[in-house]
Formats: sequence, C-alpha cells, structure tokens
Amino acid sequence: MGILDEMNTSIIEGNRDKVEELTRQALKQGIEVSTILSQGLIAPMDIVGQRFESGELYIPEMIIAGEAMTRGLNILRPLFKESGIKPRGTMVIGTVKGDMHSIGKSLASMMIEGAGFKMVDLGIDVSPEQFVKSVKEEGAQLVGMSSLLTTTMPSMKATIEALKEAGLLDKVKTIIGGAPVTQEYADKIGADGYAPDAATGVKKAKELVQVLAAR
Amino acid sequence: MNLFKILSEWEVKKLHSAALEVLNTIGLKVDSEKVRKMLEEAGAKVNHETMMVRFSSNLVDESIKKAPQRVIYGARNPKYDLVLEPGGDTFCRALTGPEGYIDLETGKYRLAKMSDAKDWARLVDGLENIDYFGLPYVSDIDPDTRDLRLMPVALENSEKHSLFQPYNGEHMELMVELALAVVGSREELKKRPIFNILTSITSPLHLLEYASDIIITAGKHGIPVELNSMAIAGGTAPVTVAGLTLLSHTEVLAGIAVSQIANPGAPMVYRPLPMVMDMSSGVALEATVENAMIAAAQAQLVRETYNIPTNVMGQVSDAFTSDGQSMIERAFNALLPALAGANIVSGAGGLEHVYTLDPVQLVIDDEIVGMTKRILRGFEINDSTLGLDALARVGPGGNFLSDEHTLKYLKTEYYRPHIFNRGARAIWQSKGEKDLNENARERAKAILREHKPAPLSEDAVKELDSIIKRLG
Repeated sequence: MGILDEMNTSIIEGNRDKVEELTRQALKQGIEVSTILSQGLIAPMDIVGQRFESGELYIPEMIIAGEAMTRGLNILRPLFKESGIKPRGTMVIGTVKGDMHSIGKSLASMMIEGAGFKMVDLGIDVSPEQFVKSVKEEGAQLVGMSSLLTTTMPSMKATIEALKEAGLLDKVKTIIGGAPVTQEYADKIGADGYAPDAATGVKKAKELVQVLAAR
Repeated sequence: MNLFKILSEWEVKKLHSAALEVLNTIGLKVDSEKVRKMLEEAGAKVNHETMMVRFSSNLVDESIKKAPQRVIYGARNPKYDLVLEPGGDTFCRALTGPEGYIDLETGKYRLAKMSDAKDWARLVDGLENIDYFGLPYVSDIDPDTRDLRLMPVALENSEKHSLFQPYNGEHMELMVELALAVVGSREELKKRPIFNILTSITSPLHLLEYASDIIITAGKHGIPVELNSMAIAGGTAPVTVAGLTLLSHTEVLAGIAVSQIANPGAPMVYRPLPMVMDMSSGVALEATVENAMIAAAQAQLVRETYNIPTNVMGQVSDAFTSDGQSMIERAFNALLPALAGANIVSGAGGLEHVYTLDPVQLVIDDEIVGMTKRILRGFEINDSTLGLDALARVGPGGNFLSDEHTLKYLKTEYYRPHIFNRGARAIWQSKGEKDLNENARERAKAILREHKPAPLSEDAVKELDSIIKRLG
C-alpha cells in the first residue's frame, strides 16, 4: 500500500499520530505538497463525509478523523506558500451573537477545512460587527453562521444585514445552520445556503465558491 | 405492591459514593462570587480564581438532609393540591417549555401561540390524570418577558398547580408578586405554593449566576424548585449509561446542597433530565430505552439515600408525531420510573424530545398516566377480593354477572380508558372506524368546548394585568 493510501486509512480510522507521521514521511519521500494535500488529506475526508451521511460513521468518529486530518494539515500549511497552494476558499465561521453553543459550529468548521478551505473560526457569541471585520481582514468568500436557539436566530439576519451595509454581500456567500434553522428561514433572511448538518455544510461551501468563481 | 429496584444494594452505594467523590475531588464551578463566599463560609473548599467549589461528603450530606422530604404543590383549587412525600402517590406533569405545537385542527406542526398556551392550560385542567403543567414558549409575545407573561395565562385558565422557568432572580421575584395577586399572603403562598419553578445546572458541573440567583430567591419565598440537569451522554456527560446517571445525579445533588446552605429547609425536588446524544445527528434524545432505565435508577437511588421528592421524565418521545414510535417510547419511559417510586413522572403531551407539544398526545398521555397510576395501586389480595364466597354462591355452570361481588367491585377494579377502541368490530365500524389519535382529537376538542375552569376573582385579574403592564 502506498503512503497516500495509508494516510487515507489512517484518517478514516482517526489515527492522529499516524497521520502526522505519514505526512512527514510523504514529504521525505519527495511527494509534492499539493498531492499529499489533495490525495492524502482531502480525499479521505470526502469519504468520511459520505460515510457520515449514510449513517455508517458517528459524530465522534467524524471528529477524530477531522482531528487526524488537521494534524497532517498543520505540517503542510507552512509549505503552502512556496508550493503555490491556495485554499479552495476562505470561510469565516461563528456561532451568532447571544448564542453560546459551539459543538455543531466547530464540527462544521473542521469538516469544511477538511475539504480544502481556510477556516477562520470566530468562536461563539460573535457579533455582526465581528463577522464584518473578519470578512474584510481575511478577504473571505464565505460566511458560516450557527445558532441553536430560536431567540438568537435573528442575529443571523442582523449579520447578513451588516454584511450588506458594509457592501460585502456581492463578494461573499452566507451559509446558516443549527437545530432550529430551516431552509424557509434561510430564504426569508436572504442566506445563500442552508446546511442541516456538517456534511451538507461542506457541499454548500463547495457549491457557493464555484458560484462566486463563475462570476 | 413492591417497588421496582433496577439497582442492587451495591450499585446504589457505588453511585452514591461516586457522586460524593465527584463533588469532593472535582467540584462544581460556581460563577457567582457571592454564592462562592457563602459556600466557603459553610465549609466548602473554594478556589475563587478557577471558581471551583469542592464539597466534603459531610457538607453535602448534612445540607441535603435539611431539605424537606415532604413538599406541597398547592393549587388555586385545594382539591388539586399535590403532596410529594416518601411512599406517596405518583403524579404527572405535562411537558413545559417547547416552542413547537401541533395544531389541533390541521394536525400540522407550527410555532406555539398565546392561544395555544390558554388551550393547553384548559386541557390540563380538564384531564383527570394530568396533575400539573407548564406552558409552551409561545412565539407571539416579547421573548424577553415571556416567562412572566405566561404566568397569568396558567393561573387564569387552570385551577391546577403550574410550573414556570424564570429567566433570572429578578423575574423570580416578579413571579412571586404575580402569585400573590391570586393567593393573598406570603405565608399562604409559602404554605401552599401555587406554582413551582424549574432551573438548571449547566452540564458538566457548572452553576451559572442566573441559576443560583433563581434557586436562592425561590428558597427565600418557599417556592419549590425542580432542580434540573440536562447532561447529554457523549456530549456534556460521559457516554455510558452509568456515567450519565452519575453526572446528572451529582449535578442535581450539588444544586440542592447549594439551596440548603442558602435557605435551610427550602422545598426542593430532585429533577434530572439526562439525555443521550444521537451520534448520527447530534440531537439530544430523551426517550431511549436507556433513559427509562436511568429514570428508574435515579428514582430508586434518591429514595434509598436522601429520600427527597423526585421528578423524572416519563411520557416522552423522540418522535415527531404521536405515532407508534411515540407510544412505545412513552409507555416504557413512563412506567419504569413510576414502578421505581418516582414522585412525579413528567413530559405528558411532549414530542420531539422537549421541542413540541401536541394536545392529541396529551389526551393519550392522560390514559397512559391513568394506567400507570392503576398499576401503582396494585391489587389487593384478601378473602373478599379473592371472591371465595362468590365462587361458592355461583358454583359450576353459573355466571358472576349479577352476583353482589361483581357489583361491589365492578367500577373500581379495572381502569377504563376514555378513548380506547374496545368491544365489537361492527360497532367500531358503524362509528366511523376512528383510531386512538382520532378519538383523542375529539376528546381534546370536547374538553376545550365544554370544560370551564373556575375564573379568578376580578381583583386578581386586575392585579395580574397591572403587573404585566409594568413590563412594558
């Protein structure tokens, strides 16, 4: 089995130390950074996403797979610039103002990172102003918002309005998610995507950067 | 009748000592500096920097022993007063706090409205087996004062005891004011509190300032607190059944200890609400068959240690509609803890964990509770109930239909559901072949049409209105 195949297996199994070790070995063997990234790290996360969607993998298994992938990514990241690797896109993500729930948001962040995006995770209780500031600073194409409470869902609307006021809405696409959030609500507040779970979040992120790129 | 014991003597001891060990070695994070100082004075080991408070086993034991074993839930109409005590009756509380509602006319899901809250209170009032209730979190009033605005709705539309969830200590005080509009004096409210409140420890092991404010303010006024922990297995609690049982138990004990240190003798109800993370969706489940075991274990554990009143979840479901899944889940979950001696089994009318109320399900739950209460009554065995005389009178070839023994016990031995389909198929067919849910829907409509709770006095209504108007 080649080393990239081994990386695939190790990520799917969530073997964090092994992935780190294999990433180092792959570099030593002279495999290109972009190849290690796409075939050794991103490809297995696609499989993880599919297996989660089909009910084969549980959330904790998805989390440790994501953590294993991150360990490899951390080794490659310093080499991105010289290798000319650009992320698929940059996404600012956070749980909206007034809401302290982090698990779902962090999970989505990790899975989207696993699809090759640069993630800027602002954490919980993130105000519309913080979102706007971060989008400007990072030149992000995507904004991800999470809310677990019907009482904090209006903060999603407020954030979209703040992005609009800052003149950013033609440059960024927004994705919302969280237990009480619905497609209907996304349509109502003008969000570009609705993701009921992390795996859908990945799909939406990929779709929306393509929409932006096609412009 | 013997109570059901899911735990062995050793298992009770082990859980009990593990809970004390957690509070002694890990402790509880207490955000309020005032409360930390109070606990420090009482003998707890406090680290003000990390906000961690550690309790010796002795401090926990001595504090919780001050909590009354007998707690009264008063009602506007004294005939609905509930006495929670060791070996006493088991009561049922309808689910409180969901935002979703199944429309009685359309059968479709939507957000709850103020008119639903009124209907809910009246339905509970008209159902004989549902003993008290909380209201849905309606979407058509100011969310910041929703806790308070719901209280007059409950008081005006039902004569039974009700439960609220104040947002903070200040709202707790206002709830006392609202209750005084109906009760008259603080002494009377203390003696027969017409409402109780629910507040939570935040899992794992964290007492937020708003919650300690509520617990201490309620204790000061003698308002019973259902102390809640919503630990989620695999999320905010260890993933195992034992670990979840332990953590939610420990958190509730910690909260009760804090309440007794602040207000010795304040009425408290042990009320864990352990949940299980569905590892495919991330949703917190409430009606797994393991939930039923945990509820039975916790009811037994408290009964055999501190013996304060217990309230565990029972008529619960993770289903979205009142379908077969719902009936299976709630029947298992309601019966097990009741058999284990829980004082209150909660959740009637709820669907989708704790997110949705369904009036049709509430009417069906009234039957589940009626049947549960019947089981708990057991059956008496003596010469009369054995029917020895009757057997001698009737003898071979006869029948018991008109025997005096039959007439004596006819109406009391067997629970008769209002909405079950029994009897002959032909009769059922001639009446339109209605199923259980359809029968329940009709009964719900009939109660809402015909049942009229006694109104509050004009003065009380005026006073309630004026307090609510002050909220803006």
